[in-house]
Amino acid sequence: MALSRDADSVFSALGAGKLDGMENMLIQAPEEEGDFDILNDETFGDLGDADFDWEDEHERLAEELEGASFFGSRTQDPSHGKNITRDSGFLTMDRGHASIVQDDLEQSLTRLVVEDGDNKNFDVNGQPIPGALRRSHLDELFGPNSPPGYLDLESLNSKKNIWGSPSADSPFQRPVNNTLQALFASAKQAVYRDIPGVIQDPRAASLQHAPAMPLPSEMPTLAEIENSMLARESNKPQVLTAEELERQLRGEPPLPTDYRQPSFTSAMAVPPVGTSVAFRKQPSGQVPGGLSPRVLNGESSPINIIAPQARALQSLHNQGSPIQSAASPSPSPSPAFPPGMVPPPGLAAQSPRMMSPYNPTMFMANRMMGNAMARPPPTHMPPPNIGSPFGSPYGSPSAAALASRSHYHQQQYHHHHQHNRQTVNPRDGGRHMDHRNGGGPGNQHFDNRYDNMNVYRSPGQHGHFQRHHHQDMYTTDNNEAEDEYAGLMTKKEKDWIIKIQLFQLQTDNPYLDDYYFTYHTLKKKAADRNRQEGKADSKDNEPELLIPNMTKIEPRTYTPAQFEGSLGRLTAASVHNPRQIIDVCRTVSPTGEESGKKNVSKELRRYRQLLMDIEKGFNIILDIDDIEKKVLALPDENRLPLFEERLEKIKTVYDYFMQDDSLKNFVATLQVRKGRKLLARLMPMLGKVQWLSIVTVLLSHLPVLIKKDQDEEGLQVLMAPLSRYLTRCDLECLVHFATILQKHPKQNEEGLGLLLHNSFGISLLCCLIKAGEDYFKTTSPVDIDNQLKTQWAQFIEEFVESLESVPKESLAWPDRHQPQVGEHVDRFISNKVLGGVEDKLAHFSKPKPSEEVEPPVTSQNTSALL
Amino acid sequence: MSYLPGTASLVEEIDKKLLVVLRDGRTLIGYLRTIDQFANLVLHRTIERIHVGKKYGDIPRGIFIVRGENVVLLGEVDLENEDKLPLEQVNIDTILELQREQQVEREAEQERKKKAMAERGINVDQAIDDF
Repeated sequence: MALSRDADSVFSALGAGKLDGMENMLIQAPEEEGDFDILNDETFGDLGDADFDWEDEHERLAEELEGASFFGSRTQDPSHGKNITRDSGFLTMDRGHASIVQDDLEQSLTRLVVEDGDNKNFDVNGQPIPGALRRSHLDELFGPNSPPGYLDLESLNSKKNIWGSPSADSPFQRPVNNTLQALFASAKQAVYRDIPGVIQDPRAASLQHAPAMPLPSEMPTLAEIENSMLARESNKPQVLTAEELERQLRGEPPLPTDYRQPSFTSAMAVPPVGTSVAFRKQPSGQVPGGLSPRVLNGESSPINIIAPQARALQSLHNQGSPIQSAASPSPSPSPAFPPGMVPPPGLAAQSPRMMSPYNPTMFMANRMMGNAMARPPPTHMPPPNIGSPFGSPYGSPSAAALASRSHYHQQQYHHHHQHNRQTVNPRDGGRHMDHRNGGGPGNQHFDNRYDNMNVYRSPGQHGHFQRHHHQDMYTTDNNEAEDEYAGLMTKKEKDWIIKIQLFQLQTDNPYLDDYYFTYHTLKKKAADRNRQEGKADSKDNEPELLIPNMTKIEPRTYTPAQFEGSLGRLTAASVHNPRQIIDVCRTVSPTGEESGKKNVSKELRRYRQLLMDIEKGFNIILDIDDIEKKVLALPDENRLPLFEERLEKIKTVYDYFMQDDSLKNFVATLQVRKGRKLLARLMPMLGKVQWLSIVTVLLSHLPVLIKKDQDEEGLQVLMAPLSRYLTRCDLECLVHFATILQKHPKQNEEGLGLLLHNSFGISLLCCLIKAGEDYFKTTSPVDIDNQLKTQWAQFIEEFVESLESVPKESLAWPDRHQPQVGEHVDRFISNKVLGGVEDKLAHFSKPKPSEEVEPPVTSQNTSALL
Repeated sequence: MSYLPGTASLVEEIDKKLLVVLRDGRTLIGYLRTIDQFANLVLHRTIERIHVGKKYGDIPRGIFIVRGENVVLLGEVDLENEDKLPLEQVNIDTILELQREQQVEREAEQERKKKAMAERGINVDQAIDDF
């Protein structure tokens, strides 16, 4: 522990972190030497008593510990003085900082409290005898108020456990008296509460007698304690086997629960209290017969696990005892097991059905024996039902050991198992997983799974044996072994991962996040629908996504986990709560540049500003698009606000273009290609009035624009919306526009000549003229206002004049060929003038060279109206 | 995949024999047992397969836990055709030797390139590529 290591310098005498009891400095007082001047009384208190014989103290303590049978029967490892394998130093060492603090605190308190009597814990000098107070610590250490680090990891994290372990978290009952026995009894009770279905066990009542007995026989076994610890420590779901489920349903007491928890990992981590307890049973030499009924409650010791087999089969009940007694001298694994071997095969013979449930018990027995015993093959697990997380680590290593010992056993189970395997393999993966993990998710999924399993396995284990006979045995050891490891991941875990992944895909605006996928999915759905309905809704082909109008769940503001009882605020940085590394603030850059540079930079800045504005404009356009999409999803009444919003946005962009009187923005924006595109996208959305003004502005600035646009012809993008608009115009508008165009000619003698050189200009003119022609065609001469007509005629004249002056070669191509131009011109222009421009008029009728050839214009039509 | 079309998840690959290529160029073949949201992998009965030319050699490794960010790609091994590789299997020492030689060659090549570049005035710091 880091804390203790840091405190090592101070507390080294207290033996923090030392494993070996022999070196435990707490027991071993620091020797008085000259060099240790620094380590004087002030540091260590009075422990450095010269009279203090650490060896004696050590032996005394060791005896105590022995007597408490923490390590009683573990003499199978004589090489280790104390049982290091089991004891991670937990008991022998000082329990780290907290306990040191507690120790000190308690000592100081006791010192304060201590009067004359009751000083058996203190020596003559009033100093606490090391280790003497130890026992009373156990309550604090293991009781409900114990520091969280030892037992209850869950309390550290106040958040809900996402694994959602269904394990009931019943705390320890506070021990009545501060004896070990009481503690163990209470622990056992607590463990009982953990196991579902056992609550009403009448035999539980017998447990109440436990505290009374000096060496209670109902001391919870290693398994029980472990399980209770693990139920708190680990967050993994409890694994139920099918047998257990069946058993529960039948109302029978469950089997020993040791194998439920994946306790292999924590075999070391579990407080050795549990460890010691189990073996306490053995030396006690309890009456096996009397023991077995209670044992069979489901909390039997690892050794006594064999007994439950006897329980279920009354006929073998008596066999239980010999098994137990055989097993009780646990230090000798070898003799224990072979006798133990006999009943299982016997059992197997008698009740094949019951055979497999007890395999785990055998298994666990072996495990608890410190791997010394042979184990049944890991494959013995009734395959589809047990998520075999606990089986896995003992797979291959044990196989070898097993082979030598329990050959018969192995064969039996191997055989059995293989057949079971066959039942599983042919099934497809999904179902395989399902059944494999059937027991996995524990109680919550119990109901779901049980039906499956019931169906699958038919009553009890009969199904196994039916299939047993039918199937072939292709035994690939590989197959079995990997099947054995399959299902490490329970369905719950898989679902958890999928959940995380799906959660990352959630979005409020699918069009934004993944447009192509959204569109593709919609199209596919529509296609499917079409196919299903037999192409009934070919009309409804638009794959519009209805953005669900769900109110987003308020995102819970993330508050980082706060630890209680910690000194200061511990920060745990995570993705949601990142640790702030640096603070970036914008500083105003100093403007100490030359004026020339300033000008340049100003220009640059202005240009950049312009670009930014265009971008903003586009963003608004996109917003308008989104609104239009959303509108489809909503019923009519809700649409109004969206419509308004839309109009507002349109106006925003429009205003941008029309900004100030000088409209310098306008030209500048239209110089940028994207600006032109922006205008082109905006135009279809504008209202009539807005149209008018925009086009006016546009046309008024046309010469400037064209002059700058000569090479690029970028203005063409505006043509599309413009032409649509112009066709709808009435004569007044047209005249209006025409006059604007005519008014330009400050730079050029030919007013419209400039336009003719530019493709946009010429297209514009053509469009105008076409519109005029259409208008003249459709409206009777009576309705046409004379003045307007005159003005229009003037316009046409000028047009023709310009046409004359401009050489044919430099005539730009209009975007569309407009044969009506010729027609229209004919209306107004006299013949002779017409002759001069005939060829050029022909120019209008012909499409662009890239397109197909059209018949020449009817310039022969010389019907002059004037 | 079964949960939402258009997504990919390693959940489908659990308990399958996979071939995993890591960023440092190693090729592992093993049974995928568990994953997590970062695509960390737990591979069981893993072998590391070293390929040099047309030869390959396997080193049994046991259980691998691979951090997700180090995985370049992974794919399912075709169990039927697994033994019908056009490559020749050699024993481990041989392949390691070959690999060493290959590495030496590569380094020499790199050196030559670097020298050539330096002659032309370009100093390239050798960046370690992801294989």
